Amino acid sequence: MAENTIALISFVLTLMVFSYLLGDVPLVGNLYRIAVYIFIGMTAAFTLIVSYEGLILPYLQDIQDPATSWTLLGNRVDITIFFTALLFGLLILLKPFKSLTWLTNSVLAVVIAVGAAVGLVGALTGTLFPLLQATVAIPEDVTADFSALVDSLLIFVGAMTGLYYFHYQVRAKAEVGAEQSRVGRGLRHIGKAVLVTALGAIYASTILTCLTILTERIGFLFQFGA
Amino acid sequence: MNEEFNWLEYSESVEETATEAEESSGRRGFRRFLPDRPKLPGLPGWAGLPRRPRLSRPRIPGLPGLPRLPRLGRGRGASESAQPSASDLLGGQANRPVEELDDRLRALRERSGVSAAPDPAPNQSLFDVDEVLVSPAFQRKPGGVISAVALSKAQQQQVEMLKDIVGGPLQSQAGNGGRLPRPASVFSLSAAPRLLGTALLVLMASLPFVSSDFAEGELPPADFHDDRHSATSFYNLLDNISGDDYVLVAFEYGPAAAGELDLLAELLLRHIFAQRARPLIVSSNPIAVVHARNIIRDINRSIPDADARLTADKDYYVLRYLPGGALGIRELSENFADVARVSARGQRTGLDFISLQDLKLAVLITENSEDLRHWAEQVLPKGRNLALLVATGYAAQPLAQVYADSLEKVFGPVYGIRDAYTYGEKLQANFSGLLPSPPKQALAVEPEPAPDALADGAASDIAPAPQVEPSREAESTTLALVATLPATATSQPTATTAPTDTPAPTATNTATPTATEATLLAVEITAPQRVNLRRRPTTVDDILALGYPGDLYEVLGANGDGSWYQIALSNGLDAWVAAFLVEERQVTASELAGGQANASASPQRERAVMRLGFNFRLGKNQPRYYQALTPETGDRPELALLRDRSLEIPRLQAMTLGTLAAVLVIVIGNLLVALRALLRRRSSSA
Repeated sequence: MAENTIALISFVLTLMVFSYLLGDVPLVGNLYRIAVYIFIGMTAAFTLIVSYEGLILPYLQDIQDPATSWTLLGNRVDITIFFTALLFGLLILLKPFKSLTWLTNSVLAVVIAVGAAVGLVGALTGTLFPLLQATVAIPEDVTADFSALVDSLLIFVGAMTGLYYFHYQVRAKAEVGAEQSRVGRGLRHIGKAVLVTALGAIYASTILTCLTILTERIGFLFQFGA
Repeated sequence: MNEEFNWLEYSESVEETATEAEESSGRRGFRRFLPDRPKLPGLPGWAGLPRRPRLSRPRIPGLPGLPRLPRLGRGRGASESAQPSASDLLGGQANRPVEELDDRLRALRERSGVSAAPDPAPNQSLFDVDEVLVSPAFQRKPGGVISAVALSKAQQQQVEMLKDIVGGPLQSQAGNGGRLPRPASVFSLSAAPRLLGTALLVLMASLPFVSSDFAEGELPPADFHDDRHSATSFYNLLDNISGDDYVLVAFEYGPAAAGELDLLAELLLRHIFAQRARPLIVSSNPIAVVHARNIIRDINRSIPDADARLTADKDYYVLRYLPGGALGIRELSENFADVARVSARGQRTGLDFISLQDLKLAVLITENSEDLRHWAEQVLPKGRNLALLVATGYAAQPLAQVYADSLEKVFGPVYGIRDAYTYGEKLQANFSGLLPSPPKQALAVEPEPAPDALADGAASDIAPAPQVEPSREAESTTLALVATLPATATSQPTATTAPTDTPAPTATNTATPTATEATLLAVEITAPQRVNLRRRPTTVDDILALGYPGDLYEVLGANGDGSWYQIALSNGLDAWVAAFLVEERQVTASELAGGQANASASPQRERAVMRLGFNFRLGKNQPRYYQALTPETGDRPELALLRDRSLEIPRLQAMTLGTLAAVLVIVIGNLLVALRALLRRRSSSA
């Protein structure tokens, strides 16, 4: 019974989302918005519940029972961390009061600075250096691993011409009608082709994602109807 | 104090200038230096803005006070030093004659309504920078702010075209209460192309669900294609886990991507459960945590025996969610022990990990490339031996492919519904034999042996087909395949194998004396301690197994300079061993069988190395392969097989027809737009 009810609600909500196709028709036009509002409200509620159960509740249990600290740091440190986080959270809630905005900004500054530092270190060690190293690596046996060499060359040429297309290296010229050399224009065209191809591939992938989701929903509708 | 410059006099002159500006403009504070604000209808002037409190400098009695620093620009200091200031330069640039501007700047200036002649009365109230960037005259037209923007004829045509493309009149957000504009009504003519395109798409995607007559397109293969080594390794690595292993599973997708990734996520979880391994589910998305629990609930419902169902915090763990995006993932990598101690329900899990290095595998299921980037950046550098298996949607596949091709520790990606189908087929093939009864005995009783194996009477584990091509390795994912694989050209029989004129494999021919006495070229490990048996003839490649002194292995070949032997392992794989560690011997088949029996006396030995011996290297030039193993008798095949597959094939066919419809809509739409633009250009030129 419960499963049927959930399936019925899903069926109705799916149709409400599809009502977006009908556009701004009286009554029908609001169905899509209602479905989206329900989705956002449910998301916010679940986020609150998951945050409470997974993040706040363990600390509360820690406070009540010091013998079972759930971290390696021990009960006292847990409580200190908990109240520090609570204080920071309260300070963020002061955002509407303009005279106290600097307190909120101080907390946000800490979060942003730590986030930026973590992101920077991660980008260097996890993406930039490894990808660069893999790109410039020359195969030990070029004849046996020719495709890898071609891949590396393509990535190198694509990256360089892509940067060239954004003409970071072009100086402003006073002469009217001053143009780049033929080689420069050729490189720019190659960079443009690389960028367009990449964007086209991403666009096609996104269409496939949408189609996959659409077929899943259509399949659900037919399954429910059957 | 500077002798050439009188600070006190300069300070007083600044105060006087400021006072004059206050009196002339009637404003106080910094606003007195600003030009008069143009009065736009409905907008307040400067007086309407909140006023910033003035800060007075503290004055200490008895001290003369700090001197004011001279301003850059046209102050006395600058004029007396006779050096060109920045303001001079800026003023000179701003007041360049129009004739010196290039064509594009001149056209832009004319289009924006600035007259060629400079403003004769620059705003003198702007202190010290009186001639900098005089604001252009604002053309006011009736009908509001938007209509005041002067557009050329070509631009007006482009705006009309844009209106046509978006399907209706452009609405400003201010006029719509700040909300997003609604689509045009279904009854409006401009909505017709959109509706027709959508109807075509939905119709074609629906046809396979209505009738099987519309089955278009080929089904995906039952195994990953030969050129997708990394996807094959994805499956095999997950296939090599055992009941004692924990697998970190990152659910990084929300409900919006459930239609695309749920099938893949379910298959991966079923694969893990089927081998009695335990997934540790984490996510930086709180909704994904709930969603993961729902998927496991659905898997549980498919198990008919209620007692055999999965139990939370015993068979699987849904850990607390990781707030803060990249920060949360960083916390996981730095502080995994604490993260693993609490479940998403706030309960103690009882898990006692030390760090992320205790884990060997992490599976990332994500809908966007940002999550993949976060995991590659924050987790991989910390997990020393952690392999990251990536499953994505189509949209994140391009970036995932780059990571998988470039980083040794990233495998996959397995993406989209087609790969999900292939993964399901591999799972079906691997576990289906175990479902009714343990098939190993049955397969051992009636294999279809190769002629040479029958001739020499060797046991079935002596005559595997060594796959030289890595892509062929993945085919022997089950015992059934290994046992029934016929002798092909890849087996490379040596000169000492059974005669080629061996009769057809009948029961009467299997015990001929000549075949039994045939000798084989083998190597015996003579090193004083265990040796590494590697996948390729190089010391930096993966270790497939360990060999011990006295072990015998059949020789399949050697490398060019004879420094490595290619040997056959007892489990059907081929490996390479360094020549200085072994000694060649001519042995009979029975001797070889005895030696290999000795070598595989501990059945888990080779397997354990394959499971745990991930030997990662930087560089992408050597593809990585991992052999799938036979399911163990203790596995739970029903968890891999008992799933609803009724919609899989119709969905694949709907994808094919939907893609066709999308291409049609895009091509026809572009043709119509191009045709319309052509007609407009022709009409405007006429």
